[in-house]
Amino acid sequence: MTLERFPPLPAHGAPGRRRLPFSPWHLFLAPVAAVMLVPLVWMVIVSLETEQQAQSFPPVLIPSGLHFSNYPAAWNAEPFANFFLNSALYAGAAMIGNLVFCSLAGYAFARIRFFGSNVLFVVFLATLMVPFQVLLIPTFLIVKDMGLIDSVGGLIMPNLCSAFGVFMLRQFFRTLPIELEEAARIDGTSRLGILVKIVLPLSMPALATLGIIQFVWSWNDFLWPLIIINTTTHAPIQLGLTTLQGAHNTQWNLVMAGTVMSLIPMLALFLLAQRWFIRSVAFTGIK
Amino acid sequence: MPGVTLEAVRKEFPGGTVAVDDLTLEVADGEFMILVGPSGCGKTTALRMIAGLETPSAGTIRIGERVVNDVPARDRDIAMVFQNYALYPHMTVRRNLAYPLRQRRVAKAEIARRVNEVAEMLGVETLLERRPAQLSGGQRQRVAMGRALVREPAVFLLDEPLSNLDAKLRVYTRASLKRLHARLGVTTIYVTHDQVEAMTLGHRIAVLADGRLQQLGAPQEVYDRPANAFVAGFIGSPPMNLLRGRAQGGRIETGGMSFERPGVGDRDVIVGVRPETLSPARDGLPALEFRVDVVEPLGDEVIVHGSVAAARAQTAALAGSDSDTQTGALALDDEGAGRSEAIARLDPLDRPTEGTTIRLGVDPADIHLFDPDSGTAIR
Repeated sequence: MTLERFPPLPAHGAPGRRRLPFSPWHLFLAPVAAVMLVPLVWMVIVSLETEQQAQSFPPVLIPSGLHFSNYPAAWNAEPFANFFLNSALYAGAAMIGNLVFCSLAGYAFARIRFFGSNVLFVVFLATLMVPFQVLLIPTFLIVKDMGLIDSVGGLIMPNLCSAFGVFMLRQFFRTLPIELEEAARIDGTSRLGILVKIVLPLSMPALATLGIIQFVWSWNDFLWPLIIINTTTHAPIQLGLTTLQGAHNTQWNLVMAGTVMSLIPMLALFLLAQRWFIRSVAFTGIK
Repeated sequence: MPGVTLEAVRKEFPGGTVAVDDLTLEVADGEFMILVGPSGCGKTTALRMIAGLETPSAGTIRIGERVVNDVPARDRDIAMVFQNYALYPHMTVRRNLAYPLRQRRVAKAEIARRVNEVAEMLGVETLLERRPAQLSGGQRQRVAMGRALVREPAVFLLDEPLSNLDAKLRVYTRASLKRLHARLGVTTIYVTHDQVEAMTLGHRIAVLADGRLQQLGAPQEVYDRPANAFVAGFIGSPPMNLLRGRAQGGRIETGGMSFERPGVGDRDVIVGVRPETLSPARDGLPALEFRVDVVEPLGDEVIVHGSVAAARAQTAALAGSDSDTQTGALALDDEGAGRSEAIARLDPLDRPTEGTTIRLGVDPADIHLFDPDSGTAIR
């Protein structure tokens, strides 16, 4: 019995075609990436132009000089320090609140059999389908009754827990082997102890995902702050930027400078947590 | 050291599945009791009920004199080793071993002493700073045992602890377990589907099928005097050949052979012949015509797979059991007559040739009879 001799494999790609130094997919992806980058690059360019150049049409894409003075000008034009602080408080508290409350609720739905748990979970999921615009007025009335209008507390309160977070953590907790929890039960751990000592330490990817998603969402939130914040110094960054836009005249170069400044924390967070971020997004798909 | 008693224990899951039905069992102080049976027979459910991870639907479970039906798992003074070990992945071996003691607020010095003692006993003292992911299967298994041992519990519960180990390690660990039990003398309940483990490890074995206890006894007794056709076919490797036969006028006939067995009456019977009781036919012994199909040499013996001219036994009792090994269907030969598969264990010197037909004899005293409807042994 002789072994079949297989023909030699062709070079990468169909036989007869010259090898490209990059994947053919890049021919499609590169233009798409460029299109996505254009607004961001334009924003940075405008933030370094003079007011005249920023307002001219057709747009000036190569500024005469780099006017970094726009940045301190924007900072001083409006209370940017307050804006950043308010955003940090809002996003930070919402993130921590979500992590705490969604863990508790997610674990209850995942592991505790209580009367009506299935119905309740379906109701939770159903709320995800309700658009925020429908909830806007009732939420406003509740926050008003709590006396939290025009405060960072009013921003934080409705965002301390989310149905999405509960759902995501419930699904993740269910992928953990239940034997770990049973072993901990036999070893003398209480329910809450099992959550804190066993389940949460093993759920870091899911918790990081939820934390990042909630932080970024809260940082970028515009509509809810617009509704309840009246005083400029109580505004978070996205709302604060709009104060640079006047009724008759807008200094676009300053607006863009302010916007670039508001992006920096998110960019820093992304670069620091990049490994976590990508792994986290992938996790929600795979697990 | 208390024993464990189950009285008429039943477990019914929502949806109607009855996992354990009317199980009554007593495990004596310091005894090594094996619960053995095919997948789905209820042995793991019974173990989990003893552990406190499942609540019985009916019946009483006692540890020592205390009824523990409503006692939470942590207060039952038991320790369990899970099939996949359930080691805490985010803790080092040392912390895994110390965990149960820290939960019980044992003094730090005492925790350190016990952890080191157990680690040495099990040979894992060099692995204490590693995480479970950095351990081999055998090492993980030992750490899981260690985590149970540090508790110094009244009862050990082991759920198929050897099933994830490779064959060689399994043999070695079996002996280690037996030595450990001899040294510590803790009441142990061990669940397995492997009847070799059951035979070698237990003081007594409880054979379960479909949630019911089939037979309880010492391994040799269960092997020599199986209570029913299920136990007969389950205990013993290779499994007992179970053939349909006919009792008439004080004689039993099956597969072309005939032998005397008075007191059975005139009826259909199941004839059970263990592969190891078959040997090349001699004068005076009843013999089966055995058509050789596959020969497996094992060095010290030869396993011969073939067929005999008798239908395979099928009873209601056997129908629900592990049907992978009960091939069930009749293998038709060229002439179209009913034959069924059979297995024999022979000396290598008697090794037959594939495709030939040989005559294998058996001592009538070694032949078992069972009722075709209930499966119960006929003595």
